[in-house]
Amino acid sequence: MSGSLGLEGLPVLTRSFADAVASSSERLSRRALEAAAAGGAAASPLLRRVSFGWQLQIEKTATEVRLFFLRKRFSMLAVDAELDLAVEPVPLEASPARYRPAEIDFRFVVPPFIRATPTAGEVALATAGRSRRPAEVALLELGPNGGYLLTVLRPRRLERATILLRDPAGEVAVLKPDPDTGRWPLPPFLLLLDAVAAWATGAVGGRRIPFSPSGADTDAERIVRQFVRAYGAAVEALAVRSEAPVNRVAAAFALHYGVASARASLALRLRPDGNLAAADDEHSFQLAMKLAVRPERGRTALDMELGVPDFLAEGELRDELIASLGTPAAVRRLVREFAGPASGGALAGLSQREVRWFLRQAAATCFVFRIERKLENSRRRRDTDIFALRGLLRGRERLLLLRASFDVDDGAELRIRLDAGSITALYLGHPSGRDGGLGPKTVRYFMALVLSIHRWMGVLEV
Amino acid sequence: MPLSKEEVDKLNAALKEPRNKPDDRLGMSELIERLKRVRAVVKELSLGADGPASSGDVAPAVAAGTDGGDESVDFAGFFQSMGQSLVDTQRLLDAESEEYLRSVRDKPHLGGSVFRLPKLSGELQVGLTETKQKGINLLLFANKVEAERFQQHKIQFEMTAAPAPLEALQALEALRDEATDVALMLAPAERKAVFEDVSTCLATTSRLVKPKKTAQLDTPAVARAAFGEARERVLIVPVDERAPLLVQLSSDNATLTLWELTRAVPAAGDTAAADPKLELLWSAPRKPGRTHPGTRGLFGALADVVHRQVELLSRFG
Repeated sequence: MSGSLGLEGLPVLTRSFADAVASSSERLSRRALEAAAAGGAAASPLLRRVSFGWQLQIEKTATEVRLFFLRKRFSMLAVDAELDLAVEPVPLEASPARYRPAEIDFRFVVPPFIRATPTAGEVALATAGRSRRPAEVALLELGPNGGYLLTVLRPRRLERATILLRDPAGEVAVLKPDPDTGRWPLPPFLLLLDAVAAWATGAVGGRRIPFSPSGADTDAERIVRQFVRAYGAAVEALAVRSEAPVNRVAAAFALHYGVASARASLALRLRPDGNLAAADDEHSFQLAMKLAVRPERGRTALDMELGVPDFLAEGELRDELIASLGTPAAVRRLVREFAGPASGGALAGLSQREVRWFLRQAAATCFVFRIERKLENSRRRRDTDIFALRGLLRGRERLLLLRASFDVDDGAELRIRLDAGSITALYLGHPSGRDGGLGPKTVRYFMALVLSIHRWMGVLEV
Repeated sequence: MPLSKEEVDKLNAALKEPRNKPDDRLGMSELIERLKRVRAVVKELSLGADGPASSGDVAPAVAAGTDGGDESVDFAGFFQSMGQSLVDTQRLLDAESEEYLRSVRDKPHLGGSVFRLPKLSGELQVGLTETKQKGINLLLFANKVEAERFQQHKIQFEMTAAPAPLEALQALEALRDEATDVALMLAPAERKAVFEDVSTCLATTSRLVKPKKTAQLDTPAVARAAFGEARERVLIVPVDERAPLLVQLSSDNATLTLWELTRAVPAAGDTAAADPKLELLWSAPRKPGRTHPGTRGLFGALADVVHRQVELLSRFG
């Protein structure tokens, strides 16, 4: 290895670490055995659980996909990934499960608001007769009980795609920006925002759709296949060690081990053909993917779940970003913004204390999503984020959509600095957004998200 | 003056009855039985020392500082150290519990308590480095700069200590040799022949066999130290006619080594003598305060027997 592993090296790594756990257990049992032989019964130390969490980056070179486990790569093309493998004892009477590649159930876990396999008739209905081809539409069921159907026809055109909304009464309307202001009607995008947030926080589970990998030799499929093989290699290593113990006496002291869970979390930048983007071309798209594999009813189940990139509904980074809005410079800026056009001047004279109070109560349900990233060098970048904050202000429930830019230093510790001067209130009003609008850049973000999901499902031929 | 068989038998009989036997000392029969058990266990272990399925592709090791180097310990060794620490700590707690219970014996208003260490949990933030010899090393970050350069991986573990399972003790019991009434080899002529074979092995390094998985052990040096001392201190246990056990306790009673000598005598049906071979089975240092009570008993009993053998051999040798 020269600082990196080829993709095919992943099973070698997991097998070696599983072997290491088995060896450790054997070493502990030998030690206990020797102690017992020398001086009677002794306490025997046992490993109850070992989990490995690997951070790595994936990068496409000219010829292959490489995994960087050793040194960090500071490259636009390197995408982050995490792998977790947990090993635990299994009951002595149960022989550890063997890995059988032919007995894998692949399941695609799609966001619950995605209508994954629409019929031609449903497409025709949703597009008011504009199309009958499921491959060229993305259908999203939004709002209470999925009563609203957002249809994006030819999503690759992003904000220039045809976007339609069917309400619970069955009325279909084409969404367009206001010809005077260029702003899009806010309510449909708030429905989408809420759906994405509920999915991102895990408040609603995804839908499992069985599928068979197409067998196509794309990077995306190869990554999934290698992950499953990596799991299988660890399972096999532990099973073999259990079935052929080092010796009969030490085996009586030792435990059998099995893989308790194997998970991967990846952020992939792909081209529509399913291969990793070798350059930051405009047709590439990014999506987070979570893989989880485990034994289930005597077979192996692989769940492949889509994640939402650049969308923070919880976690330390989100908390840090929200906290930065409470700094004195940011609050002074917010006071000015609240008094400006976003509120129609209705909140002029708001005090800093009132702003802080609003931020505090809105923090728990706040979502942050990144709509723009500009790299300054290999480690420094400038991110533009949108905050969706809901809370009481002067006795009324309000929604605040806020745009702000951050300078980010991605060293050993992530350091972020808010540019308070960049804070702009995009909308401040009724939580339904009934009187608000969104600029094209934000709409583009949402459409890019819809396009990514649409393409990703196409890549795996779901 | 050579000893007659009767005299040797008498000596062995004298050795079997300890002159003074403190509670933690072992009788001769028990001592030999234990030595044989140790031998059986060591042999059993060495049969599968490499394990059946070790991939050998990547051998994770833990290294302190940058880029591995000689400071690394292997992954299994790391857990072994942790396990040993867990057991040692519990042993200290047991002693403290005993002391505590003694101190509150006359104070019924104070409930008696024992202190337990239910588990040992740990989390390591490590990097990976590659080495030519060992594949991958786990790197413990020495400073912030290293942490910035390397991917940061996480290893979490949980250990516990439990009494050895009954099946294990039964399996151990099954290893005992049927014949426990084995005498020490005391006849000078026999001992002389044994030591000639030992000298042959010391002269040729290839005839010295070291325990598997102890690459760092300098077996020739250990052998020279063991057999360079007064040879009357070496106990010879003829558990096998062609392969006696040699037990050597250093003169400061600090190190015990157990050897198996494959004799240069023809096997049944063979006419040619085989080359002698001296195999180090077990090397146990006595660590003050850390040695298991049972092992302490073994050291104590051995010191007693060695002392008496030296005395007897000097009288008749």
